[in-house]
Amino acid sequence: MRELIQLRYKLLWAKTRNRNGRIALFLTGYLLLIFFIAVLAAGGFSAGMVAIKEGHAELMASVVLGGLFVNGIISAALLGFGVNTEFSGAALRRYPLTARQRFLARHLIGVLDPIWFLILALESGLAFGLYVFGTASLTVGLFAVLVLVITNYLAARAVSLLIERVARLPGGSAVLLVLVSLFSFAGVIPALGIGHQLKPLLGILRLTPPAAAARLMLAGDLASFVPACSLLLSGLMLSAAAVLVLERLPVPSKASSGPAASTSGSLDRFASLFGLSIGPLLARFLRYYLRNNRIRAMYPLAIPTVGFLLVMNAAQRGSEILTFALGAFATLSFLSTAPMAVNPFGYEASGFRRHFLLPVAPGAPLRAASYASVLLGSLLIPVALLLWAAFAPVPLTPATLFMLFASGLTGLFFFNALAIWTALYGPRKVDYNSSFGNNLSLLGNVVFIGALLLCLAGPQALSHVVKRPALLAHWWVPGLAALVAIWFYRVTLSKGAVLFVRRRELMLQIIEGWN
Amino acid sequence: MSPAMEAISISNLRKNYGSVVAVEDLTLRVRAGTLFGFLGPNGSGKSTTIGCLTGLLDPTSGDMRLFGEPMTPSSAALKRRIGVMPENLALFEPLYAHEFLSFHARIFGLEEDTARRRTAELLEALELTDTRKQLSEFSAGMRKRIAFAAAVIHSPELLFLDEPFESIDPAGVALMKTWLRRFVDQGKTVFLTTHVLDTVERLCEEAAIITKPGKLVWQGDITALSRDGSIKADGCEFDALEPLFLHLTGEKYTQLEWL
Repeated sequence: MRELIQLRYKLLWAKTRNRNGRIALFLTGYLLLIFFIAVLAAGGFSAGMVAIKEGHAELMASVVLGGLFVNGIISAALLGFGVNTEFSGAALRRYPLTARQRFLARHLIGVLDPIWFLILALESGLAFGLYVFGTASLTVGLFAVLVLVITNYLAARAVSLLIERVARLPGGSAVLLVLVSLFSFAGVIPALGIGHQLKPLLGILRLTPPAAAARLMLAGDLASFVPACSLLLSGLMLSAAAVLVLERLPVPSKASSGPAASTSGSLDRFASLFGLSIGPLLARFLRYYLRNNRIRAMYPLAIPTVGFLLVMNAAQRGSEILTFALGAFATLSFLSTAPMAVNPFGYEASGFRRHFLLPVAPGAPLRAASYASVLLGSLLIPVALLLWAAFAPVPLTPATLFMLFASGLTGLFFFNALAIWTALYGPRKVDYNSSFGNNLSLLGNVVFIGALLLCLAGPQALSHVVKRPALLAHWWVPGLAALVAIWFYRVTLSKGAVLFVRRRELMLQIIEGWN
Repeated sequence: MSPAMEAISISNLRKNYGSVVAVEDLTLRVRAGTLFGFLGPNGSGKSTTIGCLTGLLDPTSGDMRLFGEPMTPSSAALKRRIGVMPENLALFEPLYAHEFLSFHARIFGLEEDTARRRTAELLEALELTDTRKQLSEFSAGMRKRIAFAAAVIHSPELLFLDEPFESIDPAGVALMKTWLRRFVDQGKTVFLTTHVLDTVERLCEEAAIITKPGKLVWQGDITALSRDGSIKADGCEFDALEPLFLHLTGEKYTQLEWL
């Protein structure tokens, strides 16, 4: 088992040999430094000191531990940090281990992953802070931290297993993304003014492992130690039981959840309108988009997400909502297809090389991939306009409709043009079937997050400078922006086609994983 | 051999990956209408040569022609005349088998009716009739059959097959061999790489052996093996391809006493 743990770290180190690995190593080092500072400054001493001086030590400790607990689950289960398939139960079968040893090895490797050391360091900082500035026992504090980290690992593992199984069910990815979105939007509950109605629910949080660990850290006598310790250990046992049960549940077959093979002729007929050279490629890329778990989850959620943000802003900004809507419409069409649009070839593995064996014009696959994203994104604009017409909190005029339509087109073509450059200069080998985790390259992240920030924060800044009457007086500006975006897209397609052929060997190396 | 009769003509091909030389000064001619075996040890540059010949890779230097025409990444008309089964198969995995073959048929210019008929016939013949599975869910052998079907669906004049028989069951291999023989009988050309030398002996008419890094060490007629029982090369006589291969490539069997 020691050799397996060493192997895990050797593989982590091996990943740093490629360019992306070095970038990751740099970022990890940078983050580690920040975490180290955080341990000393905020996570540990400061939190402990503030907690005790304010007289809310237990509450402060619960909040810090609860935040780290949730972060641990998100990092491991949703963002994909931690142990991967090399150490799955099936992969460990190649080693001379019994079933029990494999089980132990898998979880030992899992809990000794660097991510849990980081969390352990932060939580130990808090225990140390409480010990230095208060009357808490360091031994008990460290014991609580250790149990909490193991519980956190098991909870993250249980969530991962649950996601894996639900994602394989028909419509499972969409269900999961709705849940994640709801979880993300929990932060805006205070803005909705319903926080006080949810107060009784907060009592449940006192029964969670982080709250139990916080109480245990501050337990001054046996009477408070025993219940807190029992609660914390119960959390550990429950998490372990959840992992055991979920690991034994059969994984639903993907074959039975796939779409019927005989119903896809309409895509070919539609795509054939684009000509004999592009048509078959376009139909193929449309299938890639429509069968991908991430796109199937994000596409139907794009309009509700943007609608939700608009409703939130309508409450706060009143008549300046139009400015915000212009930004929201610009991001709408791109948001729905972005995970694949910024890296369409990264999902293909060895299939990427087939593009260059086909009797088509150089760059035709790049065009087809981008057309698929533009077509799917464009369908959302009229739907969003109809919804705006039905529910808009401001008077409906032809000028506002034109502005929103033009803004949608601007975002569609501008961001899809940027996505082409990202596909060429920042491809990344990714798993087509994965549902969660950030699988974009560094450049993909910059474009995706940048697009969101630009479209959501930009209008907010603009609304301070340009008021509604001035905005309506310049109704033609979004139209001009759309024309510029279309021109930029056309130029990008033409230049990108040449670059696609010129950079193909480099892209092959990355996408097929030669390096 | 006149250029008109040459399906493949390679002159002084060199391919570098950075500082690594994958193919060095390879010169080779393949007659049209032959089943040609391209042999070499692992890492000797066979797949790289096929990559350069099919427009996938840019050669560092040298000249490559198919049917007398230079091959470049933009040679769409020339690509329509060839079929390629890459070593790593290069499948579009989220597609179903019939979608993948239809895609190939259409993009290689077949009419819709012909595409539909050939797709159905190939799926039936290669026993790829499970319509519920995407390509990623097929076994290694089935995936290889699909890659083979995609390479032949448009009836190419020249077929590149990189390790075509590995992972396929004996019945599938026998079927493919029969097809390949009939294919060549029609005047078409097959350029295949394999490590199974027995197959080359029984199937091919000509063969070439290269050694690291992509250097041609022998090319000749191997029908002499079945006709005369031996081949003469390098001043020696060989009764099979294996001893000839080992002699020319310098590959040795190392004895491990403990094994």
